[in-house]
Amino acid sequence: MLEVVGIKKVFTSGIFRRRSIEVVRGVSFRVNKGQTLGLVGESGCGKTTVGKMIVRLIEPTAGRILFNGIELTRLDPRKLRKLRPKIQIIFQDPDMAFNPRWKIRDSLGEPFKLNRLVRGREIIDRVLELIETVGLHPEHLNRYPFELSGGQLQRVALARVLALQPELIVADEPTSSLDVSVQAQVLTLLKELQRRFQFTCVFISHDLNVARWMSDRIAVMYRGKIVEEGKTESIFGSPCHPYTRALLGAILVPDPEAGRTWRIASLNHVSPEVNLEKAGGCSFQDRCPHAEKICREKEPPLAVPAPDHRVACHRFKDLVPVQANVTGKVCFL
Amino acid sequence: MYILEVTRGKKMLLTGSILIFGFMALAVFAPFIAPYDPDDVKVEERLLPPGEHHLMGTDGFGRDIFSRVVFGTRYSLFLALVVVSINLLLGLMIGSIAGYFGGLIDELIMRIVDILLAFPNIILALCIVGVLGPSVQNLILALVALGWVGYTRVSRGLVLSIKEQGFIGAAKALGGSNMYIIMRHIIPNAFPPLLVLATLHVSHTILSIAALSFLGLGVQAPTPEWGAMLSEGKQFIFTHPHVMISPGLAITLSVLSFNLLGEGLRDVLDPRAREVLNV
Repeated sequence: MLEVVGIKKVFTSGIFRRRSIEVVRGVSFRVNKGQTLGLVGESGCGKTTVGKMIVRLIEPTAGRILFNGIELTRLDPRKLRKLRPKIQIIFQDPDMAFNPRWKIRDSLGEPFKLNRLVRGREIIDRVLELIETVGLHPEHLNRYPFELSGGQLQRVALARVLALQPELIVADEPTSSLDVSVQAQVLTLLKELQRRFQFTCVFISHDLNVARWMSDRIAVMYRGKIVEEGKTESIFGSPCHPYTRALLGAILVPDPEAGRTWRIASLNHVSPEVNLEKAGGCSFQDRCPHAEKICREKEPPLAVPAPDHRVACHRFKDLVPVQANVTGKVCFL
Repeated sequence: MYILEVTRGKKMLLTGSILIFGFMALAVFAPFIAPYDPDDVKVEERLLPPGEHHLMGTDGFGRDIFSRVVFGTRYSLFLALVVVSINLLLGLMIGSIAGYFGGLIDELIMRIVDILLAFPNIILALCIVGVLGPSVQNLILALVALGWVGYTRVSRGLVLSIKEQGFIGAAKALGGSNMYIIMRHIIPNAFPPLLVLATLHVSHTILSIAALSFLGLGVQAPTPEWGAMLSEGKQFIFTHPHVMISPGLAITLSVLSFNLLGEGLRDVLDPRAREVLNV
């Protein structure tokens, strides 16, 4: 369905003295039809850039993106525009996702007008249908974006995306700017709609609880690379990479008596601007509590610790193979 | 009454709008308001002080100054509005293209802007009009040649921040072309702050036109343009100052009213601000 093969993105600036920073350094994954891949990682690890490259808002520097077997990266502009409606994106900040001078009605009608799907009165009918699909009132159509709450706007964003009956939706931290209770509502809606319309989803998040609840598979990104990837259960049940373990240790558990499965790892803090090209070896070496000589010399290859599970670490075998006694309950409050 | 609602409690906006409406009315109804023909020369009535028959007195040719000031509104206001509108549209288009596409186009446009911004305005305008010859068209040309750069610079900055917002990306993903996005999303959102700039710029342009006309390079002699009137009156400044005072006051008042309007508009044009006003 969606296959991403070794995509890279280098941002450059300046005309006389070119400076460049490699934000995404070779990311590969695949998502099967109707499934959800959770892309998690800290701020600045390149997960949003990956999402934007999939919907072709950013041109990848290298690599291939295959959608239903069609290579998006080498498509001529006309064919790309035909394919665009099939691949949609939901943004992190719902306040900025709508033209502030348009009423919700106009924003929701935009996909129909742009793609000449329907015209005239029929647009109004479809817009009404959409607004009800996402659980809002037709009265909201006459409001301006600033008159709606973040949760309501994110619902409208979902409606606008659904207008084109996409096969793939990239959800770029759709709930990170919302209150926790509203988060749950929006996520439930997203899941419900996915069941109903059968779209594939790339769910970008820095919140592991949310990603776990949403995704069939999880890919953990660190500094522009995927360090661990596998089924949600195996990532949460038996994480292999020290970074994944540290992330899991940072999850807040609502029960103070429960204790933690993973202790909070004290990682050395390193500024993300550290020049990566200079340092060879594993990109996590300077923060990793288990780093050894080999980690500084050689980049870790992808190893397969268990079926359908990949990890990029030299030392995952030496780490304590803790079998987590995770209850499996996800709690939003 | 929407306008009344918006202007309530906003003294600057209200005063500015009333004054400008006043000037507009003067311009439109000039033939009915002016008591005399502004070009009617009566040598026997020259340099009369303000009085019963001539509200603002008469000038060196015996023409009624009040009538000339009233008709002058047409030239000064009309020219200033034309110049500013052209500048605004040109700057908005070029600035949007520079900001939206970035890269080489952006660099090219912005370096031209930098070069033009480095020249002292009035001197370059003098050069242009001086070379092309004094006429109304050349006056407009000179003021546009220099004026668009400011708007380009400001609109480019606005576009740079607008284009990073989600709805631009969403429109692209929904299938919008670059031209569609610039025309429907970027320009409408960049326009309101520019309109404030333009309103403030009208007063500046009124002054530039008056200055060039005063120097004899703008609107030509018999035409009752305020700057030209000042120029004609300068020989009498010590003996009959009233000849210069009236057009001078007209310039001051019009500049003031556009400044007031611009300052006032700044607060109202944002839809968010409208919400605060409870309209």
